[in-house]
Amino acid sequence: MKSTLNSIISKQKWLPIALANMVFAALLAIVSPVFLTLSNFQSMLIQSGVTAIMAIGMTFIIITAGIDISMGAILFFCSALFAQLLQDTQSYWLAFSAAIACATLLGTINGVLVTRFKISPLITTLATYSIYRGMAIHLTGAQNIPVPREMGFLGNGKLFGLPVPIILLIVIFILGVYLLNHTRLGLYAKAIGSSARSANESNLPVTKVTVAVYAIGGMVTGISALILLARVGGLQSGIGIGIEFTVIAAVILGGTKLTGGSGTIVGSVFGAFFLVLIDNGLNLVNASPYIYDIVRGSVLLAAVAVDRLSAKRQESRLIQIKKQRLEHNHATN
Amino acid sequence: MLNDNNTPLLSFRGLTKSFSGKTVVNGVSFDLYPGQVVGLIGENGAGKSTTKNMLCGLLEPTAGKIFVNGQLVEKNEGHVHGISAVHQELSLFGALTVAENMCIGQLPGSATKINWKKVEEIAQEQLDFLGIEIDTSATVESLGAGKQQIVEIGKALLHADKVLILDEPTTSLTAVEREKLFVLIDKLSTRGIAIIFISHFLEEIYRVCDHYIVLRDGTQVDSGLLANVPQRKLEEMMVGRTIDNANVQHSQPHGGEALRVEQLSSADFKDVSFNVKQGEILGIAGLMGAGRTEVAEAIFGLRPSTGSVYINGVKTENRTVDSMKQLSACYLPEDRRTNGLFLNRPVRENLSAAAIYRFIKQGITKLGFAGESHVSQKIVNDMGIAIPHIEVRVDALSGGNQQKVLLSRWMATEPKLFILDEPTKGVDIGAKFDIHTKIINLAKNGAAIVIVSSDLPELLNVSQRILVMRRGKMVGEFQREAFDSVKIISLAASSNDKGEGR
Amino acid sequence: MLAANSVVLIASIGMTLVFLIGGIDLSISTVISASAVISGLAMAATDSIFIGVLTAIGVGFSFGLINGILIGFFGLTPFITTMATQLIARGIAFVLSQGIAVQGTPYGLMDFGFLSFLGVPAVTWIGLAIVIICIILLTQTQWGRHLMLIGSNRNAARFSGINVRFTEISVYCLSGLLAGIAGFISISNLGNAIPGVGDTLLLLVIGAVVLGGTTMNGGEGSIARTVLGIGLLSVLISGLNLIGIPFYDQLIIQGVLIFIGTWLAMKLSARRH
Repeated sequence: MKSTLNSIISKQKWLPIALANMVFAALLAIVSPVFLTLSNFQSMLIQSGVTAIMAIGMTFIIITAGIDISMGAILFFCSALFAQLLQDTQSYWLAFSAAIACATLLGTINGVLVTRFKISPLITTLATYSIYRGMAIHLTGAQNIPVPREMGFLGNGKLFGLPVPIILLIVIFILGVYLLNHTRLGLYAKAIGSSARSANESNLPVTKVTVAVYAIGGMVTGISALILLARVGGLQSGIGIGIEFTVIAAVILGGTKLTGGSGTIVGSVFGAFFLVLIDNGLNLVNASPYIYDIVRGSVLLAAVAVDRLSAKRQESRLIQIKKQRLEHNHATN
Repeated sequence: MLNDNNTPLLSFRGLTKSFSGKTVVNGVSFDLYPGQVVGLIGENGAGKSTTKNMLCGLLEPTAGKIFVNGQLVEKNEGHVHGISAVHQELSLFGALTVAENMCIGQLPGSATKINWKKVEEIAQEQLDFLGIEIDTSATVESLGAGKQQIVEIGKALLHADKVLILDEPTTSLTAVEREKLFVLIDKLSTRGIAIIFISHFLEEIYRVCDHYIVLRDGTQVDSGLLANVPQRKLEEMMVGRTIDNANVQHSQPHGGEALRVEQLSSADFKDVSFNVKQGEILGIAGLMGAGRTEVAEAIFGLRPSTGSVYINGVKTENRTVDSMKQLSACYLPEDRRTNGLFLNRPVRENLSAAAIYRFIKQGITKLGFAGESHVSQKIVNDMGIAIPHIEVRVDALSGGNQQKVLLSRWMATEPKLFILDEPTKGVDIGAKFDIHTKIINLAKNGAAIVIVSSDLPELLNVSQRILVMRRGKMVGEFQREAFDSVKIISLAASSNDKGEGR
Repeated sequence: MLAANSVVLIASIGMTLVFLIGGIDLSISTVISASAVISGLAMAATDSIFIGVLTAIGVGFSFGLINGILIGFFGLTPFITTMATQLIARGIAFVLSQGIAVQGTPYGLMDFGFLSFLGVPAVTWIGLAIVIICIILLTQTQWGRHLMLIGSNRNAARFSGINVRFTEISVYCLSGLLAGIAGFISISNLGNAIPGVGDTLLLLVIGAVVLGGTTMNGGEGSIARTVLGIGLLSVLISGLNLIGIPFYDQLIIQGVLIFIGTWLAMKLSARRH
């Protein structure tokens, strides 16, 4: 029984975070009567939407053993471009398509730089982080730009009775899961993260796939940017600062390893939920908003520590098995 | 594919490869017919790998011709012509499943929809064909080395199924896994697949091959039907001299017991006991995976174990590399690139890494490394390490020079006990001879030496006593007068426990 | 200008040492903030600069020790570990300061900020002293040698009997300690302890290190190179300020420079060998 549970967890790496979500939610439900209301759930889902959508893109990147520090800057650039274009042209379609296209392009540039120059993804995207953020402020002249009220539809509006951000999250989630599990791109991404050497020896399209995952990361960041912009009501200078770390935290909480090779979209989305759940819990106990960071950091540490401990236990179990096999060998000899 | 047995599947004539003017393979020729298993044999550096890479299309020959089914091939692209190779370092993806690994080169279905059912079917069919039971949905990293090898073979044969080249496929296998692999090779050969089997274990060659090609220093010494040559003859062709002439002047062990190991046990070995005297060279033979490296690491506290280790008759507790260094014992690990050398640091720092205090004259400030360069340069000269200067990064050195650097690092700690794990692996003949001479001289000066090696001729040549280890256990002991390569090999590789030679 | 640079300079020295051992310390930026805030509070309570210095150093060192133990002893990944402590340090800085500058720093501190010797601000002298001490530590002591060797090949270091754990833990401690000093200097520069003072420095710090050519793979690079990287960056920034380039365009130029600098350093290193 115990061993089957272990094997399920080792295959479905998202299960622990899903369980953590449930346990924590149950706890909050006991503590607070407000928690279990539909509106609270909806608002939590909406809150987690931005991070969750970006985490889906980040999962692909981390699965190839890469990382994208520039996501927050892409988010900011995209918001700036959209707000500016909308203000200048009053055309939603132009602003929408330009913003998403641009976000994809910025992601693609990351991918091209990573594959072409072979500098570590961390440094590469740290450099583009600075470049993209500078470009965005340049674009708007460091102005705050409000967006029209009807933009709020994207942030709070409803379609078929469901809030728009949630619909977007569900669509991107389904697409992401399909892409990772049923297409060559997804399998190749895992392969590259598992062993870059083998991927090259097996003639896999390493460059194409790597560029593609960064492009996907850019594109979903663009979508997140518009949702966030709609919710905030306008461009502000602080948008997107540090969000890449929240996104990476969500992915790691979801059971994906920075070393690449494996990971699940479900886990990352649950990871994003969990972060919001924590915020919600802190909110319910009226904690200072400044404490959120401390709790998030501690949760992240706890998660990796637990992961490390279970890996160690797995190791010692393997050693035990080996020992038994050795005894057995000698007994039969 | 129709194939009458009169046309060779693959034939090559005068294959030659030079790198920047230096010829590493010169004029290798052979005809390979369906179902043949050819042993490509030779010592390290004889040109086996280069020949393999030319045949599977990784390297373009400098001269020579390759024919497939009698047709001249202009540009050899390996799998296009049905030639596939399983390299020593497997090209598998640990995080992916067995089925995904086997099919990743040619996935069924479209790019946007992989036909997973078909993937499973193909993998299962291939495994059935190979006659091996492996769960196709298991990740490759969860499999043992033997099964990984089989998955790689299955993967290779999916892409190209006429000629299969296996490069040292048994090095990381246990004895049982090896036997399974041999059965598989027999089976593939009866189905008309031609196999080139690269190895320097002659016993394996005799077990699976019917033909042989011997390479020495890049040239083809001989080829033909294996049944016509005795093993001793092949060995002589490989080494280029008569083996019995290899003569080493040993000194008699002349002191007390330097190391005694009692009932050492861990996950990889059980109840290992042995001792070495001062001035003695003890060889430990055995197959890859027999637990020899693990024993050495346990002696130095690099992995947990139970049992006792005595140095000069004194029992040791809580052993670490450092505490063993204090007791004048040292261990040279097997994999020098992973565990031995600081590749992007200069030779000087690599030499002084274990005993910096012996290199420097510290003033009152206790700062700086005055004298380090001087001592390093002296060591480089004494050891005959061929480098332009001591600030060269170690990764720029040849295998032989790297090994000499590693040996020098530990000699600088002036140890009385050496445990050397595969001291001449991947080292050219000249450096090998140098290292052997050094080892013998160390013993003459009173050091106790344990050599762990898979290179049996080396052990036969250098050691005064040989212990044989198999599957985590010491199974035999031979004194120099009673050295017998056939007996030692059979003891190391056999699957039953007769306790021969005890 | 030079005074502000010494905060980045001191923090970059810590990051260089961590890079050289093959790790990364993302928490440096917010540990600067946290130690500034706590030191500011301590000084407000005691009116003693000395206690302020001790507190800043103590806070920085404690964060470093936590990082070091988690990474060196428990074997957690440096990136995630320091990302988490980065969040925690930021949270602590903001919680304790309630998000605003800490008031009530001693008067003497402002004087210290303006103090100069031979026309060079005292804080710059402190920065230089730290550079020299760390260069000596790195190039002239066994500890520094061990650090380089571990960065080059952790396994080989273990097989050579080098105390990997101790060296690794101590290097994160030192990096934290330097961040603490940088935090204190930020108070004397700005007159107040600002809870967000270090947050934006991470880019500059990593930028300076990689621009100098120290790679994240470990075992390759030097403190002198980082100082060169800082010099390059600060000359660039003051030059750009001088000709009136706005800060956002400077961000672009910095990013490009970091990228090109890293690439050139990589090419040069490949050519040398």
